[in-house]
Amino acid sequence: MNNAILFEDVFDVQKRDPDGKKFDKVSRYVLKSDLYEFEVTVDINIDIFPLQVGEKVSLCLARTIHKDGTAETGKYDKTFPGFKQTETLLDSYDYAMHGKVFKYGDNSSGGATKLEIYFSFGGLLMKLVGNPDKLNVIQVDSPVYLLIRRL
Amino acid sequence: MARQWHQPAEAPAQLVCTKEPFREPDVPRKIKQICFGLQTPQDIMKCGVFHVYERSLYKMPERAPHPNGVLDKRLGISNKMSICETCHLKLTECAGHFGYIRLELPVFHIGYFKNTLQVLQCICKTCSRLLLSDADKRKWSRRFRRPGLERVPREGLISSAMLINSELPGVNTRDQGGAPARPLRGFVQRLKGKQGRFRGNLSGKRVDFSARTVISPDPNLAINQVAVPLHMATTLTYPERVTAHNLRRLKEAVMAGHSAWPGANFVEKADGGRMYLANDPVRRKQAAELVVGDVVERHLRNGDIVLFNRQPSLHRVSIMAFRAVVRPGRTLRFNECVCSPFNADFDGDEMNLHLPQTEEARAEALTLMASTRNLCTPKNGETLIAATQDFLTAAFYLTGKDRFFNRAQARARGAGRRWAPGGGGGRAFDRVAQLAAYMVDALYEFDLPRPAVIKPQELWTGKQLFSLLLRPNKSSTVWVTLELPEREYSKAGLHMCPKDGYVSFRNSELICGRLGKVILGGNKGGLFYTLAADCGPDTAAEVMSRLAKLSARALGEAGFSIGIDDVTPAASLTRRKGEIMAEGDARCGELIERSRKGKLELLPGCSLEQSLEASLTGVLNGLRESAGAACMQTLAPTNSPLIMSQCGSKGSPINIAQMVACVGQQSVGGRRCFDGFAGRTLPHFNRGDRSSAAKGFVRASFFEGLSPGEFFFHTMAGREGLVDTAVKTAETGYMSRRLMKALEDLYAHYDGTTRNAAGAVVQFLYGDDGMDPVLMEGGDGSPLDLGRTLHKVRAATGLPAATAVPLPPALAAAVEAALGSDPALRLSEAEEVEGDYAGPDGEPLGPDALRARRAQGKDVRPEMKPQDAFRGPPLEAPPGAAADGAYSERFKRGVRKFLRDTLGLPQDARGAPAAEYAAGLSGLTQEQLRAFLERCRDKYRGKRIDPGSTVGAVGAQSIGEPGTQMTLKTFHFAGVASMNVTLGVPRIKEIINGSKNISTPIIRVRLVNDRDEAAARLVQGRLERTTLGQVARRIAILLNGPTNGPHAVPSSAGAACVEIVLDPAVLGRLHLAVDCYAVALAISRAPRLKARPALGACVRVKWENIVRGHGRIYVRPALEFSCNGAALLFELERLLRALPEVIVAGIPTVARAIVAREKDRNQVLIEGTNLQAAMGVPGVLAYETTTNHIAEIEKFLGIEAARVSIMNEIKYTMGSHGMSIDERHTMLLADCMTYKGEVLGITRFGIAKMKDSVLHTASFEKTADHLFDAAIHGRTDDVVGVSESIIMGIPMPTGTGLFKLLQDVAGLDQVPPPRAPPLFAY
Repeated sequence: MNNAILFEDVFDVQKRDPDGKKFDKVSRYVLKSDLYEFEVTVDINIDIFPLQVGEKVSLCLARTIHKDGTAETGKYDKTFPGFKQTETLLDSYDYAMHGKVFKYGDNSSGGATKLEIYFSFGGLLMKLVGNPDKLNVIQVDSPVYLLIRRL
Repeated sequence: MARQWHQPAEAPAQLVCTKEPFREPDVPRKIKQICFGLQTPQDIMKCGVFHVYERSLYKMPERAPHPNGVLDKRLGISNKMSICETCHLKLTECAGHFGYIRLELPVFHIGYFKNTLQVLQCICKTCSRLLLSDADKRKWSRRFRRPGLERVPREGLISSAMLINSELPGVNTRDQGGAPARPLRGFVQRLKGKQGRFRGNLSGKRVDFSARTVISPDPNLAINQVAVPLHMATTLTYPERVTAHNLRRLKEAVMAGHSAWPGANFVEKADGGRMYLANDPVRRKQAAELVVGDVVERHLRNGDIVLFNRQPSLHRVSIMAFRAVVRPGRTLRFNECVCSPFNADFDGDEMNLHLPQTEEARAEALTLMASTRNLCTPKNGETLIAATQDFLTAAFYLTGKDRFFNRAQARARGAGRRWAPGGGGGRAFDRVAQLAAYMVDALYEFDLPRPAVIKPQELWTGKQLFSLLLRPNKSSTVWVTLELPEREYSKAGLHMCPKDGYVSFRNSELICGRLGKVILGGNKGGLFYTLAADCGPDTAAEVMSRLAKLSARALGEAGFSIGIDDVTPAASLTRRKGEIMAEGDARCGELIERSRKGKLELLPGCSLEQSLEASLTGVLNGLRESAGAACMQTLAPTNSPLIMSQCGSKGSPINIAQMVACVGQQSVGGRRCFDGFAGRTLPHFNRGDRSSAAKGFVRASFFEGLSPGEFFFHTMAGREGLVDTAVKTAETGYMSRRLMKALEDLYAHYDGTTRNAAGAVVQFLYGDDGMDPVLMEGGDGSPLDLGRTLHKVRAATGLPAATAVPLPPALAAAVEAALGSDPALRLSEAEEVEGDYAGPDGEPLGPDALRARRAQGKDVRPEMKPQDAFRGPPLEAPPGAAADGAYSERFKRGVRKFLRDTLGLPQDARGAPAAEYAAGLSGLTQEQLRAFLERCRDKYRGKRIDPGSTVGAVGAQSIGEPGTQMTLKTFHFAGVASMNVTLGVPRIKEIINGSKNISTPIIRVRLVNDRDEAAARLVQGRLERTTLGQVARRIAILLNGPTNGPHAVPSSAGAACVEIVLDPAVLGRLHLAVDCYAVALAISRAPRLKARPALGACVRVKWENIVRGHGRIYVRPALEFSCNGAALLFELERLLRALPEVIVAGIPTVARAIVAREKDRNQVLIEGTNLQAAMGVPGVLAYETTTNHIAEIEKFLGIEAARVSIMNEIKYTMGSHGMSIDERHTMLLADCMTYKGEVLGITRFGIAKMKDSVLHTASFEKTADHLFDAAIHGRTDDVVGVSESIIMGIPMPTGTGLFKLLQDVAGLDQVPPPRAPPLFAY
């Protein structure tokens, strides 16, 4: 694992649209990881990447999608990795979103300190709950890639 | 002398100004004062140019005006051809002259008739001497000692009086000399009324350079633009002075002439000659001869500043300045966002346009009246110019979570990739670049953000498009941060709301939330409000224009319409509705049945009938609600009415429910439909039918169609609405006029006080804190929205690296340091903005370097960061601010409390590592706290009221304008059913009239013991008026009462008396501490009963069981009746009738008292007056007992209490109609009504007491009376107020007219040393 990747884990798809289906092309999934007890709630465009309950996915948060970890400009121009012919992290995943961390929250209950981190990928939201020790590399207002691969 | 150095002998050319600078006219010509008085015959003769004695109008053979007649040309002329023989001027220049008529007989002046009478009444009728001292007598006697007063024929008196006032009391119009159809128009009629001289010609004048036509909408125009038809543009002109800079353009305009646009109509030469550019030769000649210094009256051009207005001009934003855009067509067009300040729609409305004619006027209009400077209403600071209707729908549509767009040219670029970015063509997705282009119109560059979804295909979301709308490119400095729940918010989960109803903008990025009316509408804390407050109104207007363009075009492409299928109920709904209706019928039937049997439990203070009505209304309203709720569940998310109601663009769930499910109960006057026939509403119902259908419940939906009966009920309710609208327009219009007349001359002054034109202080500090209502950010009128400010500081400075939560003392110290009064404690000022185009070493780049960089393809636009938003010097305090660093204690307290509440951890919660960690995450660094406080300080300073602000006029508008939106007659339950309170326009009228009698006076009594129900009942019994009839078991005449023993009625004429037996059971139930003695005392003191001992009457009590309170009371009539048997009997009968009305307990003026429960605290509500008595009743908490009767409060609690009460009552009344008005406006009104020491109503009597000016009061009401009165008393009028200045046509001393430019003339006669010519002069 290099410094491009902020977080990576294997999750089970547990629920789909826990509060009922509200939008045509977008569903909200709840994923859980066994290993570190992370929980992820994420909006996914099911038109192009439908997930089923019970599937196992690998979910990764990356600072950049350059495999060597070089920083990105954040602009949509020719420096955008999608336009380059080089190998990127994108190649090894099925679904990729780009967005921002916008909020830290506190979800401590029953003694265990848990951290909530909120992401917005152009309005598609993600909430990551888990142990602060693993998550404090993720900083508010930093751009983030969300990469998902079916296992 | 002063000119000397201006034009030295060898000076080459005089300085040419674009416009001659404005100079005050010569001092002696200024009207300083107007004196009123009576003219003596000599004065009248001096005023006239000649004696009019000829009674015939024309000299007949010549058909010319008769000399010395009333049409003599020496008096002025009435056509364009002739010339006045007195002043030798033409019609437009000559104002006319007076002649005089010598009356053959003395005549009463009708205007002074009352005064004459008054004087005559001052004369002793017997000795004919004046009831005055000798000095006064001599003065007055001369004027009235005239011979032949009685010999004046009555006829002549009337006809001469007619010339003065044709509306004489008691004189029929047919008695008048003129034609019988048209009543004579006397002097008084010329002056008074809306069309009279005062209101029609002096207070309001007709103007040139104005235009009027139908309006229509155009979303492609910016917020500050108005499209003017070409025809108008060629008629409206602006006098532009020719300079070297505009010479060529104006020459071209002159050549184009009056018919082609852009042309010109006139050329005015420096020597005063004026040429109409009628034909080609004239145009060519004038264009060739055009020199610097001439004035060209050119056509209206693009970018000219115009004033745009729609009547009724209820508030100041009814007229605003716009930039003209000349367009073909026949209508005036503007952006729909600006509809709300004008209250305009496009169903045929017409609007007016004015073109200011001087540079000063344009400059003032642009800085003060521009639509972008008036986004917020001064009423409460909410944005009035905001997205409406379709813009909201489109924004809601675009920001939906499942709205994805690809890039327009994706295919070309993505060719050859393993996965095609954006592949899929334009099939299912709109193109983001195209939509982005829609909103910017090639006016800006835009930087496309990275797509939200990158793989399997590149997709942008609608929310990203919105972020682009706010900040089109990286060099933009627009930073918005706000969080607000939308209408659809599910009340849980904040950002993660499943319906996407929680909106969050962070540094101009739309993080989450579907936009609707809360965000894009006028709400405080909404997007446009935040933009205007944080980034300036121009930015807000720009974003709004972009939104309008994007919305109109995107929606046009997507399509949005409504059809019959949108309102067709689903099968499940029809079934459910049937169930709901059946259930409702059953419940109504049961209630009616119970009331018929008398088993219905009564609501507090209600009769059986009222209780039934109240419970039925409750059930029936519930029916429509549950049918509506069922309906909303069945609608598809794509349903157009549903979308419109969700985003707030049009319609409410009730409207949808009425279309789809059930129209519901129709009400007239707040009740179910009344019985128009005997015992029933319509003849095909049974008499006494109380069922839902018989009393106006419409169970059908508009989709199903109404039955004839239902339709009739619906029209009844509809008619009420129409009548209401018509009546309230007139009512509120008059109310606004009175308010304006009373408050018009109150301005904020340089010393912070509010004074009237005469200089009397009305408020020592405007609004108690000297803040401008229009700039208040908090919903409650507090200056700053601290939460949002903190959000913005947080978002701009990022996550704190090391955090320590400050302890309360440290916080308080920091606040005091930032806001304290000592300037030495001010924090260091923010650093200067770095050079925008700085190179790597920080040195600014020259143009060559920039060009080189651009050639390399490098982006030379600086990329702005959120932190840059705070760069720049802090705002300066306005010149009028009382002292530097003067912050109201309330504000400082608010900041301290806010910081403690949001940041501080409670002392006992500190220390636990988890808590510290969490607090640290949401805490502030020292630097953030500093930035926050500095920002608070700077913003607060910019929000002070400007000296010269017309706070009075604005306050009057802010109270008058909402009146038009209120329904006229509204009643409201004061916590209990059946206890009504007048609200709406009638209540506002009562308050501002300072009425002594109000329709529903209610005293709210707080109790010492407010937990115990029994205690409340006890107090209720003592407050409520209880009559003897209510508590007596028996009242009867006793012809042979007890004549001996201790209870004997001492009597000389037998023992006839009235016997009263009380009912202890009733007394116990009412918790009354009344025994026979108390009743006896009440009877002997009762007014008009004639049972007082002084009259020889006698009231005696006989106990039967003193412990249980059993006893009898005997009342013997007064002595005067005892002599005559018949009289005695009549008197006994009278007593028998009158005794039951005797009040034995409670306050006589209290008709009803009800115990009401409010948040498990009991209180007693009293219908009635006499606050003082209520406060004195034992068990009443006098300090918290109040009434809505302002006159009573003034009487019992004093003027200050009355002032507070006026403010509270207006606020309560407005609040119950869902309207909020800044407290400063109501405070000013209350102060104005009370500053003279008594409550003065805003009526003609109150206003006359407030103002000293004759012209002011004459232009309001009773014009002639005030003028005659002023003349008799020889009053003078210093022309200082608003009305007076308008009448006299001089600038009024308010706003930019408050100050004068003073020049020190002492050193002016010394010639200054000549300035050296510039180095490279040629």
